[in-house]
Amino acid sequence: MGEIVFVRHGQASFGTDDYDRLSELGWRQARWLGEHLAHEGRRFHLAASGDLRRHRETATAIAEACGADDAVVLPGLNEMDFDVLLADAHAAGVIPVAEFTDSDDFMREFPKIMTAWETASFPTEHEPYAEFHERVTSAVNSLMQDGRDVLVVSSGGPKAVMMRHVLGIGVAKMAEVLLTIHNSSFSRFLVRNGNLLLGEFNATPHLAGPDRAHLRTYI
Amino acid sequence: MAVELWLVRHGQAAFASDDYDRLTDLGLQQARWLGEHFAEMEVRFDRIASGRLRRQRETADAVAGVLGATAEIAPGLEEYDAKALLAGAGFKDRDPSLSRREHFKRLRGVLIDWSQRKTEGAESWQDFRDRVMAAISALTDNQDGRVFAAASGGSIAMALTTILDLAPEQMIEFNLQARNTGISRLVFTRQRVYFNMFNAIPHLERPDRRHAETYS
Repeated sequence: MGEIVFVRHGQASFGTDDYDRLSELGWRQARWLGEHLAHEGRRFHLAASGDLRRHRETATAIAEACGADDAVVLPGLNEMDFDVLLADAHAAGVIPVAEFTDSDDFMREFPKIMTAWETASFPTEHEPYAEFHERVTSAVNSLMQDGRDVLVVSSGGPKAVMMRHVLGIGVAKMAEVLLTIHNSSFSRFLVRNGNLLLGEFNATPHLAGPDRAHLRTYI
Repeated sequence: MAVELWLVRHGQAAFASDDYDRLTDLGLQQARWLGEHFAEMEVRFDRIASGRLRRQRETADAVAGVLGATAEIAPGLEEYDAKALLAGAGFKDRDPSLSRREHFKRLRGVLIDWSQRKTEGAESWQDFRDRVMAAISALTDNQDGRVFAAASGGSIAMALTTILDLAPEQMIEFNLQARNTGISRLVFTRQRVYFNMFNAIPHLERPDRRHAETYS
C-alpha cells in the first residue's frame, strides 16, 4: 500500500503582473501544511511538483518542515492556461463575457468552457483537453508504486483531472470539482494493485480555526 | 443562499459483536474528539442531525453534547440493510469464519448484484437512493448556514455517487474507504450542489490518535 498525497499550490498572486508566484498568504498556507504533515509524523519517499513557480515554491515551503527522501520536477503536472481558454471560448461565443466580476456567474459558465474545450468545439492554440488529461495522468502514473508515499504539488486543473480519472466523473462535474479545491488543500489517492482509489478529497486541517479562516481561499 | 452539509460517518461500531448498532468506547471517543475539534475551531452548526440508527444517534449526540446543542433525527440517512442483502444472496450475516477482508470482498459482490437487480426481502437500490436524497433535501432545501448530519458509509457514499452522477461501483468504493467520523461535505447553492470534501479526519490527525483512524 502506498499513496499519493496530491496538493494544490498555495494562494498565488491573482490580479498582479505575475500570477505565478505565491502570495505571502500562499507561503504561509504551504508552510502550515508542511508543519501539519510533519506533526503527524509523515515523511515522503518522493516529492514531485510541476515546474511552475507556484508549484516549486509550495514544494519548498512544505519541505521546510516535512522532508522527502527524493524530489523530482515533472512538467506533466503543470496547469492549463485559463486566460487563453477563457479568451478563446469568449471569442467563439461559448460564454457571454470575457471577464467575470460575479463569482456565481463564473461558477455557472466555467463548466461550459471545460465542456467545449474537451469536445474541441472552439478554435484555440491551447493544448487540447485530451493531451492535458493524458500528460497529467501519465505523470501521476509514473509516480505510483506499491509501498511508496509520494507528495505531489500541482494545481486545481490536474487535481480535477485525477478526480475524473479515478472516479469516472464527466467533464462538467470535473469543472465543478475544480472550483471547490482550496489553495494548499490535499487529497489522497491510494495505490492498490496498480490502481488508484480516492481516500480523501480537499482536506485543509492545517487551515482550521478562527484565526486561520482568512487562509481558506480558492484563488 | 447557500448551505454546507457536513455528512459524517458514525464512530466505530461494534463490528464483531452481537449488536453492531452501538458505538464502541473508541467510537464514542472519536465522536467526542470531533465535537471538541469543532468547538476549538469555532465551527458552528445551525442544525445537528442524524439518521435513526443508534450508532448514528450516539455520534450526533456526542458531538452535540460537546457543543452544548441538541441533535434532531433526520429519517432516511440510515444505512442499507447489509444483513438482509447478505441473506438474500444466501450468506450468513458476518460469517465468523471469514476474515474482515473476506467479509468486505463478499459484501462488495453482494452490493454490485444489488445495484443491478432487486434482492428478495431487502429495500431496492433505487429506494435506498431515493430516501437518502430525500433526507438530504429535507436538511438543505431553503436553508442557509451549516448542517451536521451523522450517517453511515453506504448512505454517504450513495449521496456522493448521486450528486457526482457516478456508476454504482463507485458507490461501493466510497463506502469501503469511509473512515469512522470522517467528514464529507456538500455545498448547496441556489443553482447547484458542489462536492467539496470526502473523508477528512482533522480531529484524528495527531500522533497520539493514530490508533483512532478506523474503517470498521
